Amino acid sequence: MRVAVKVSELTKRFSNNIAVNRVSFDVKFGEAYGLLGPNGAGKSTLLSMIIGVIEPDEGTVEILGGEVKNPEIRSKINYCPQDPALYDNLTGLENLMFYSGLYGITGKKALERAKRLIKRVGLEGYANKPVKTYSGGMKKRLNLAAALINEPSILILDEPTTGMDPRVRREVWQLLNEIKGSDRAIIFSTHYMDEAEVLSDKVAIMDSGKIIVEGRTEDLKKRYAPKPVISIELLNSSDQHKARKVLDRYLEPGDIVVTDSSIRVYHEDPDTLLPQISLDLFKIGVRIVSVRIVKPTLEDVFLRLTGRRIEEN
Amino acid sequence: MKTSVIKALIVKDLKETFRDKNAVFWMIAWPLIWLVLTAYILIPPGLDQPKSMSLGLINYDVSSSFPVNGSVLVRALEEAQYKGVKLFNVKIYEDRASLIEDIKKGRIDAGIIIPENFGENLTLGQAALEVYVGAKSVQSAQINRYMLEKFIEEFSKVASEEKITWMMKFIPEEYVPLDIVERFLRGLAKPINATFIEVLPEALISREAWIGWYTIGAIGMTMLYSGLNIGSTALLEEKQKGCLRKILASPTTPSELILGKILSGILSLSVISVVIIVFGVFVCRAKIYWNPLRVEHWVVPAMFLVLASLSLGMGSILSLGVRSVRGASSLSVSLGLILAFLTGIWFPREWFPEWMRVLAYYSPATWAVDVIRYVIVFEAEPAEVAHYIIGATLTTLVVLFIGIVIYEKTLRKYLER
Repeated sequence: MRVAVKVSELTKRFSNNIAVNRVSFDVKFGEAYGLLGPNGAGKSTLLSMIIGVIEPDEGTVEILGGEVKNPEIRSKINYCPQDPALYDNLTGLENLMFYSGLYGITGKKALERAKRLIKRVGLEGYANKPVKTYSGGMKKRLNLAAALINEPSILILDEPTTGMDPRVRREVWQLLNEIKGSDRAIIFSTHYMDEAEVLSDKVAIMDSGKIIVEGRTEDLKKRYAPKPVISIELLNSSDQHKARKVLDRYLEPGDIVVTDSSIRVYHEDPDTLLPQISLDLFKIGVRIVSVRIVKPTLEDVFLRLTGRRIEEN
Repeated sequence: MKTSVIKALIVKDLKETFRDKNAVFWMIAWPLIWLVLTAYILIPPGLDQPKSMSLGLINYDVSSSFPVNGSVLVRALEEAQYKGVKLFNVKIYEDRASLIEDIKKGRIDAGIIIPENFGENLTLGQAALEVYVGAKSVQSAQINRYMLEKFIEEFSKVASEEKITWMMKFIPEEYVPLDIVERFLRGLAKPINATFIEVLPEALISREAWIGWYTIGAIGMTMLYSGLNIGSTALLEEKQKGCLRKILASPTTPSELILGKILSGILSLSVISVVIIVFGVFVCRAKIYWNPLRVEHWVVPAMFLVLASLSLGMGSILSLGVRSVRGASSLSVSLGLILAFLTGIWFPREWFPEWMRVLAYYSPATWAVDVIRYVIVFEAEPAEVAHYIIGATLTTLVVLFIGIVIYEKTLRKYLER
């Protein structure tokens, strides 16, 4: 597969803080590349450098074999910001016509394309209504339509479903899965591990401005969280030390991750272990809210690598 | 420079601006309200006509047989005119008390009591006349007093002429040459016979021309605060709406964005100017003379362009110190109105004390507004105000250049935050 985006040693500093620290990765055509990490990990700054609105202090971004500053290359990419970049006093159709004008698409062609996209995101009944009358979900969908106005070869999305209710999130995921294709590369940032798992072919987990691990979702899970997980929620986080002592009897230290009132235990045979540890915890007076056996997720990969949960940040 | 980008930015900005009720109020409704108030309160219909006053009269000199007497004075008052307008609306009273009562209650402006033997005293010596002037306000008292003083002064001269004619009958012809005596006496009565000719600027004589003056002032005032507002919020608004990064992630360059913003600002201000002029001319009856066939008259749209660019440039400088769109708007409107009021754009600079006029003398916005007024209200030749044209244009170019540099810096700052 051809490389669509090549990021090499990208670094950005703000005052004394390194927002992005020597980040490198490639994204190929047909690939959806997810940047997963907590807020403040440097994902948005990294995306801003990729789209060329922030100058990196070091490193390079190569898009379609050229520089992102090249207007011809810029006309083949598009960016979907986290908060809808829309004008409330303009209608949905007018918003899309405005963005098409920025890409040099005008007249009938622009109108046809805008109408087609409005239909595709399910807003045909609202095309001529001012955006200020739209719900949050409708704005998100229109925002996505605006990012497709130039039929981009490279689509960059910053937290595409943040703040959406679960139903709208699923709609957006479905839409993004539909627009994936061999002639398009997608890069998106997210702090939702389920989103990263559903959408990405390849994921890079970021923390403190660095990519701490990168690879295919299943590969990462196999490598960093190969065992099933027993997820235990304690009633009182103050019980975590007592609980830890019990768990240490059965498990290697690396197979236990404790964060506040939540404990994740990695074990080959959770069905056998679960009754034993539940009983022991009960005996020493540790009160449990819930206990369940789950499949490992990217959250577990992040937990194993950083000792923190993504959403805690 | 891609025209589709500039066009898209202009169309979007114009739609956004003129669909925003708050913006429409400040950019269109507010100046029109001021214009109407000015046209019908500050310059009410009839202001350019001579003033006439209501005058109460009591004439106790009814039986006088002398040539100039109380009845002659009453008739003269009733018939006095200036530019075809009757100066005194005379009402005859029977007694002093009711006349003074009506003055006190403001029913009449002034009153004159002609005493008994007025004609005889006037002919043979010095006649007395009681004049009561109403003082509803300091201004009206001054005007009424001045009108009556001038009338009595003129009437005294006429009476003197009549006295001379009457006296000449009693001088023996053989005593001295009568023509010499007569010339001498008439000279005593009226030593200087001055002829007063009013010379006023042709265009300012009429009320319509005054409204024209204020129409241009309304445009100047609106351009100032709207330009400051548009200029100071142009990029900040895009940032707050979250659109700045998306625009600059497209093939749009920062220069195109800034140019699009400046042009859309100029177009918005042009639309406002046209609306105010049309309203001024067709609703308030402003007299504005602009002939597109006269090449020199194209200095007027050029000066509007200068004024718009100047206020946008000043707005971009203002953007350095603002943090929110709301704050920028409040600051722009306040600053714009203060500047318009203090620099001779809305109020004539002659109304201010000398030390305050300095602002008007050195304000390039006032220079541009004055050029427009000179050409389309006073019908002057642009060459007469060439120094203002050059001054306003050069200052605008400098301010606009500084503004563009600031925009570029602000843009970088916004993107990195």
